Amino acid sequence: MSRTFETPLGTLTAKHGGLIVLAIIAVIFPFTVGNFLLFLAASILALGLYGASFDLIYGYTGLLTFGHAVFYGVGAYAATFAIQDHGQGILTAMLVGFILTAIIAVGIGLIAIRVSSHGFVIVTILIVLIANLAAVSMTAITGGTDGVSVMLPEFTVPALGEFTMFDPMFRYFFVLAVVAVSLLAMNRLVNSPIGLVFRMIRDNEQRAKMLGYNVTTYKLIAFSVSGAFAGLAGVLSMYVTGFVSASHFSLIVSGDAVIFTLVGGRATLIGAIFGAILIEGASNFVSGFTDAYPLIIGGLLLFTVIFEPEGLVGMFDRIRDALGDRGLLSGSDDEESSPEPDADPNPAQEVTTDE
Amino acid sequence: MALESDLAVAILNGVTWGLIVALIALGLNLIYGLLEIVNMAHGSLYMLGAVIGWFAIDATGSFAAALLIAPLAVGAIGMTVERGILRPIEDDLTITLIATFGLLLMFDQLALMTFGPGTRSVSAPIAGTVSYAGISYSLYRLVVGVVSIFLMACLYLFLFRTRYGTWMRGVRQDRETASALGIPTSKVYVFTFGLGAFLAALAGVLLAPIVSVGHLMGLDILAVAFMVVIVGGLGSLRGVLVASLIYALVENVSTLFMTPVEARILTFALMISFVLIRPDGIFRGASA
Repeated sequence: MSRTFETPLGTLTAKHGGLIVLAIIAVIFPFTVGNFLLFLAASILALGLYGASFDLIYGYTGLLTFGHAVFYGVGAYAATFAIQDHGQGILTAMLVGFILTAIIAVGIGLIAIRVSSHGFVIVTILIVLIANLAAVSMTAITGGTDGVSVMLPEFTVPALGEFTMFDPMFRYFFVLAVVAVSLLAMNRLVNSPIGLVFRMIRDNEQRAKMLGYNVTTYKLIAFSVSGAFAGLAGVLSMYVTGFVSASHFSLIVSGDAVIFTLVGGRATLIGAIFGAILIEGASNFVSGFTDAYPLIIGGLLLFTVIFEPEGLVGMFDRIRDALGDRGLLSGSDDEESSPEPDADPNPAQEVTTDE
Repeated sequence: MALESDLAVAILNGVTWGLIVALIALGLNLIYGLLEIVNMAHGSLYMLGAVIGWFAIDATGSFAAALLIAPLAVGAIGMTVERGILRPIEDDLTITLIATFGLLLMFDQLALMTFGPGTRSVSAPIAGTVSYAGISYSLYRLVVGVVSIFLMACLYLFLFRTRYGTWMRGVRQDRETASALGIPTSKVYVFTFGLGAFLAALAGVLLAPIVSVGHLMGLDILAVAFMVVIVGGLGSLRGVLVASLIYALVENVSTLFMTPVEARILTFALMISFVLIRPDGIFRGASA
């Protein structure tokens, strides 16, 4: 993290370098693969955003929710209804999904945050189960487990012409753009003063309270923003498949967000994308030979929480640091002396009261 | 008259179902109260009880054998899981919760692979109905209700009248002091998890003739068990029993007026709303 590179554009750290490489791969990759992989990549990106939205509430604020599938499903259904019943375009439907899930997240948050931290997770589990029951039984509206297929309208890009979501290349770039903008926005939030309060609540709720922060309000903000982005991910997943069903609201889908974040790396946002690539990529690959992949995923989850709690991103960091120590990564030479910017030299600063 | 007898049957169903739900949820709450582990795999332990019970009946032809084999096997699985997987990470509530979610995925998948995707039925070891005042009711369900009461009484006596039960309550109140006084805390932990798993599996075998046995039955009961634990109060055993009975009565009586799914949605919504009034459960802050 401390390695810096001088470029004509300014000083870049290794972290920036990694992101630039990722961006280049993301843009070049679609021109080298076939339609199926493009489809898979777009759906993985949508799931990655879903995982990252969970990371915002769990990784940064410390609130474990198992109800994220509710927002994912509501977003997908809201966009479906906006397009099908109200003739809205792609962008308006996306906005509807985003705002509606934000509102619903405030409602759920108001109930769940009242309960103690351990009760919070159980209340969110119950809410996803109620949503699942409701969606399965109200077949007239939701199509039940058979779901609803959506005829997606065309989309006009100024100066480029008309596109449809059925064009794999356009679909991929559309999803990539929305996911990238969302990740930047979430990254901006978690590094803002509000984001710092989120982390303080995660690390020491008592101290945050003592310093006069209204912890409940901040938790509610984190929960709603996180829910809104999960809803956006649901909209994107619907745009990729053109399909939504009651199985969007399931405990297993909620668990997916947890798995992506844990496997990728907690409190990193980008980690959830890696987690989604690894898990979804692997399950697509493995399901060719065996139908036991939930067993493998469950085992992977156990392995991660026990042996690699920092996830893939933590593993990358360790490998990079190990390589750096042996001088295998070139960079400026001051890496030994400069302190790690992430390691707060005095994290547990005592609060002094002068009475 | 028809409505009255329907109502009586619904109430009886509610009471027996509530008692057996309480048996499952008590195990969940015992594990939470002592180890501070929210066991997402609890429903799967109940499911494993029913599935292993089905295999035992298939092999031996005896329901009594299943009633013995399945809970012991699942209890052993529970003890192994506590010792081998949860022990190293038991300090972090969220991490243990996620780990038990991983176990849920694995148990359900293992059941799917050995038991197959469908559901199967087990015939009740006690046939016949009891008729009283124009109401006839399944004898087996009554026996299940009575057995549940008996088991809960045993659990109560064990917790409050034996030395090991006192240890368990002591460890729960203050782990360090208990450990300093020579109570083998790690053994108590393993035993508690095993006991919770044992109770869940026992309920699974007892319910096998009433519900259909399948690899997905755990998820269903998990929702119910979590709900009564939240409404009854995390860690409160008395609250769990009361919440289970209320839940089962409301759900069974409302099925007289609506479809089972609607009844369940209504019941869940009512119980969740209750949380708004009393976030700490029925007996606020009570510990036993």
